[in-house]
Amino acid sequence: MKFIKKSARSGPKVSLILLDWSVRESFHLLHYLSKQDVDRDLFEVIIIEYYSRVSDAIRPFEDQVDSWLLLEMPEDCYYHKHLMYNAGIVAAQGDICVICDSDAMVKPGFIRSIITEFENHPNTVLHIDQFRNARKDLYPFCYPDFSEVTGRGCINNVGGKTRGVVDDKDPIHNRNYGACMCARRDDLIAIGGADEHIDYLGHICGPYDMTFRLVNSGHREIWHQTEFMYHTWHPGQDGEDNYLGPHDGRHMSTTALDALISGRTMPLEENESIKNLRLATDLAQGVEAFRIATTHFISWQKDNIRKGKQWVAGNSSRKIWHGFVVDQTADGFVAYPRFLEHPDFSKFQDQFEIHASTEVDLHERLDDSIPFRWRLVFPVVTLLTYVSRALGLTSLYLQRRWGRLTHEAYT
Amino acid sequence: MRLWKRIAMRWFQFRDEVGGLIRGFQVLIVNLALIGKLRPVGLEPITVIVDSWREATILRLLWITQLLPRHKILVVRRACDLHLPIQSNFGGESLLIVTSRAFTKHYHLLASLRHQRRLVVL
Repeated sequence: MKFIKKSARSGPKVSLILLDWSVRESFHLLHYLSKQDVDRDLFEVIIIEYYSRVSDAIRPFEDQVDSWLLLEMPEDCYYHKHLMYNAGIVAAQGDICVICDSDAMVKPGFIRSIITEFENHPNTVLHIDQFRNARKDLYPFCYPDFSEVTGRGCINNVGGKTRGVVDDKDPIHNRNYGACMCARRDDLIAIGGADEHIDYLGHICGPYDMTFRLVNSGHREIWHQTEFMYHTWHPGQDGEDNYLGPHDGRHMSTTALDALISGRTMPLEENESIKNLRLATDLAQGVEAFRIATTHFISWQKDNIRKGKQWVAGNSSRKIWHGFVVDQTADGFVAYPRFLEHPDFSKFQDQFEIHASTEVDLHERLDDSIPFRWRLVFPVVTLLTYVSRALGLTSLYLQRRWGRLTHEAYT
Repeated sequence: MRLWKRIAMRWFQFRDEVGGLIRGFQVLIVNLALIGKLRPVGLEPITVIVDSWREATILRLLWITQLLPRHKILVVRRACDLHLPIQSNFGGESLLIVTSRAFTKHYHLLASLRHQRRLVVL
């Protein structure tokens, strides 16, 4: 780990944590941060680089960077953004941590909006959504006007707001949880920081892991209704050819969703430095002592997660088999119906839990325990789901085509 | 991106998404059936909150064929549909069962309900 630059700013309110894993071509957010309408001492900018690259893209804006930290992870280790979040949280001096895209545009009131929101609603986790423009002529980034980004080519502008913010049907997939997340540093430390579990390795990850656990710990999630970020197209923005951990088919981590469902507040794998801060031990060490578990160097190795030429998703912390949750324990494997997690039903644990030494044994025992007529239902449900979903998507596609055709005909 | 790659990506997306739907629905069916076994007839009613008419239809079919216990179904397509179930006086002592998919879609409304009502997330 190496500091290129270390913050000399005293008492900032907001710490912006920007990440890179030797891929970023542009850090133009820094340009827009230099145009904020608040005192520059109110916020600090922390850059966390996963590997050892000293990015040339940062050089033009170096005066805006307060701390610049290289984690110096080995080149054969795959990137894990949550490790970088934790390094940022440890390095932050501000009361509010902001984890956001470094290649987006923001208006001059961006930092002021965040400070105001936390002054008005202290017990919250704040998200700011992003307008996304798909025009390829805006690449390489050419400092377009904000109206240009929300105009032609914008894929989510609905009457001046993002589609995600106005959506009440499927906000979890329509909002950009990774665009900008703001939370109090103390709150992030209290929930154990970002989860360093292997499920979050690669593209399937994001600060929403912490958002969900903050919600579980009683914080209110707020999406800013008037402040937005603005993002223009660049190659590789959808994580093409990246390693993908377990997700729900629409790139939302199922491990994070599972935390939300089960009400879990602590991470599956907590960073040691965050733990020290949480337990108020080792406070004097500061960011110089940011610790990276040595096991990560092996388990995150590219060769260990690549079988043949394919990236193979890491083992999810929880699996489902015939509707039962399958967990690994010290003695082997255990399967139980999910309703046992509810306190009202926990007394039936002995009645429904199935134990086995190996996963194969457990599957066999589960097969035996489930009545035959239920097992007949499963393939029928599978078929019906595939057919109805395919029909639904086809009709959606045709509707969109028809809408486009009629729009073109009228114009 | 090449066409074949885009097609493959779309297919994987479809397969993963439907796979998740199926797993989630299996969890719902198995858990509902087991809860039905535990609860004698005439005890407080069960209300199941799902997010699609497809799931609601299959649940009704399974109830008709007596594979699942008697339960009320609420289909929540939009956040405004949840207005009723999150009322404090809704359903009295009924056991609310919500699918994980419906829960994660509207968790900002349902998360607090977990502490106030008998709500099981499957």
